[in-house]
Amino acid sequence: MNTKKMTRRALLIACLALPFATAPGFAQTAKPPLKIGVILPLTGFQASYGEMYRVAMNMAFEDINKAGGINGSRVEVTIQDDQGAPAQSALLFRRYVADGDVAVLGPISGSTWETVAPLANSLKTPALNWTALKPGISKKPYALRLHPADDIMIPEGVAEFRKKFPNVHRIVIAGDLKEASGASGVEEFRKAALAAKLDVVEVVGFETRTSDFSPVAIKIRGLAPDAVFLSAFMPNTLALLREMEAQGFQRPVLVNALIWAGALPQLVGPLGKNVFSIGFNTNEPAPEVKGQPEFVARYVKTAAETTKLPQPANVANTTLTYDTVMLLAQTMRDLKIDGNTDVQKAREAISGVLSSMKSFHGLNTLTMLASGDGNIRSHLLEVDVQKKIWKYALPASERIGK
Amino acid sequence: MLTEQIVNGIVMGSLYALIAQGYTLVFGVLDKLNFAHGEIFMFGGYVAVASVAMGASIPLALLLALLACGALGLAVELVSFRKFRSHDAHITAALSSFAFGLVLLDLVQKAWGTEPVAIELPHALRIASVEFLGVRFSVVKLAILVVALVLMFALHLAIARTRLGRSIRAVAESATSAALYGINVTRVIQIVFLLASAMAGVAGAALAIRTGFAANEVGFTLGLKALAIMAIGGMGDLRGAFLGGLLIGVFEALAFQWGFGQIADTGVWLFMIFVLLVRPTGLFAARASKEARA
Repeated sequence: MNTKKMTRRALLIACLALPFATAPGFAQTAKPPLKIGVILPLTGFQASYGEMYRVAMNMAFEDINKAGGINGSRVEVTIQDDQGAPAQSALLFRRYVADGDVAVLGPISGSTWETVAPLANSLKTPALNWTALKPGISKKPYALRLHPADDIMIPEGVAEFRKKFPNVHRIVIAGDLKEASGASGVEEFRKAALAAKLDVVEVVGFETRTSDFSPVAIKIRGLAPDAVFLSAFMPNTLALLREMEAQGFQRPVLVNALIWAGALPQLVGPLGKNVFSIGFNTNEPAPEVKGQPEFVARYVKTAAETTKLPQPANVANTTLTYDTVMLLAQTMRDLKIDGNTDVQKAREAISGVLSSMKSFHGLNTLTMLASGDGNIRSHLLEVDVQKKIWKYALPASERIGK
Repeated sequence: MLTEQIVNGIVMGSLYALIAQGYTLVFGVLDKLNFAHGEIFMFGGYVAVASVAMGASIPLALLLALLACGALGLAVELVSFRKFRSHDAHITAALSSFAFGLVLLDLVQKAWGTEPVAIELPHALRIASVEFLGVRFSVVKLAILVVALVLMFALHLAIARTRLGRSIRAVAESATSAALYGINVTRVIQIVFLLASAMAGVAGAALAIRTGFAANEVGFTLGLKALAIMAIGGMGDLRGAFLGGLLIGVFEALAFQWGFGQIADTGVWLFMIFVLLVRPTGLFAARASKEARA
């Protein structure tokens, strides 16, 4: 009788426990979570960029937790909005450090990353960036950027642009000379143009918050260049293209990677035929890269279902966003870090491994440079006006350094 | 190119003036700043985008922006100013209107997203231009200039020559005295908000038509700049707002032409500080404003 009662009780407990035992997080519940902080601009001028990276980031963390977390600990992610403002980024970074997060992902822009990178070193907390373009702002060993900076991307893009437009000789460079990424882009365009023996007629400055681009377009038209090199965010690029069209002045416009990410291909319309950018990934499936076609399809679907981003969502460097999360997760797995590990020791160990890393193979193949920046071969991109996506401007056989 | 830049500056300046006159109209009557004004101007652009997308013509889109933003102005008056008319409620009204503007901005971002939204104009209209003495003028820009000038002239006539204008001037001098003379002060203030916001709405729609996009940051950028223009022209002075707008529009255009485009915005604020230091009443104010007198 007792044995029968015990058996029934055991069976009942087993039945009740079954759903939990088979749930993906069951093995993780025994250990405290690993906390990771994310800083993105979710409101303000760069909000759409923040939104596109948030989608990729959520996909990565979802995959990690579905696979059982990291060494038995679930990853607890907090995403906070810095509005693209450096002061707010610094404040959020300090908050994550105080809250015991083992690492921080972001912030994303040149200005914000430049502010947080020194802070990461003084507070000895790893910070990873996957998008900023201004050269020379990563600070080893704690602040690493996996994205190539403008001093690498722009010469690669200009070289392919020269190949596509061999008759271009006179160029005007335009951009925001005050914003970190904008100003660095202008400088790198100037260097690359001189190296490519192009005649830089003039550098035309404006401010990112400029609403009226008529005077900029009039000025550029008056200089009569063969092409325009532009270091600007998407709204500025669109406004300038519209003004150039309204003034009956159409020339190829090469814009640095500031517009590669974002919604330009979906919004530019027929004017897209004059726009070129620089990047290392497009929405086009690349079967030679393991996982890229699947990622692209899943990203576009997820973005359509969960955001108001213009469709089809631009994948661009969100592959590197995903890689960044996966690299951090893999590093923590290798170091046997879990929720019980002393946070400061975990931070030091992560920083030690990442700062000495030579290369990483994920959706992108990147090599790490001594500067603390990643290097991925970039190419000239153009807009596929019909499909509203970026595509490579040169056939694979003609790309440089493929 | 210089002539083209100057004409372009006058067109942009006329839009600045439309917004600045809205600020100054409210300030002249209530002695308070309406910080929702910039976002109402921004909203005008989205009304134009939505109207054109639904098949409206450009004039109809401008009219709808005028009506929608005018109605919003009435809401701002009701929510942010009706309860705070006393002279010691400057900060309360300013904060309330600022919050109103932020809510409007957030709603626009929720409805249209944070990216600029293209306004679909016929290609032929976008690139239409006329040439005069070898200088090329965009038809859209000239039309916008005409609309802005007509609106501002109509406002001037309404204030200077009509019974309503006399009531507005009376309330601006003293709401208490005006009430004693039988003027419905609340009604007059409502009309002031209606006019100011309607003009801002037209300016927002015109900017969207001109640039080809409605963008939600213009309330902050251009809206604040119009505030500076009001101060430069003369707080509470319609003529000052008009001339200040044109002055700043041309100043910015020339800054780009002469290679100082990256400091055009900063230049406006520096100019405002300079003007306030040497002539606190503003460049074109006919008489000292209440603030300056105090």
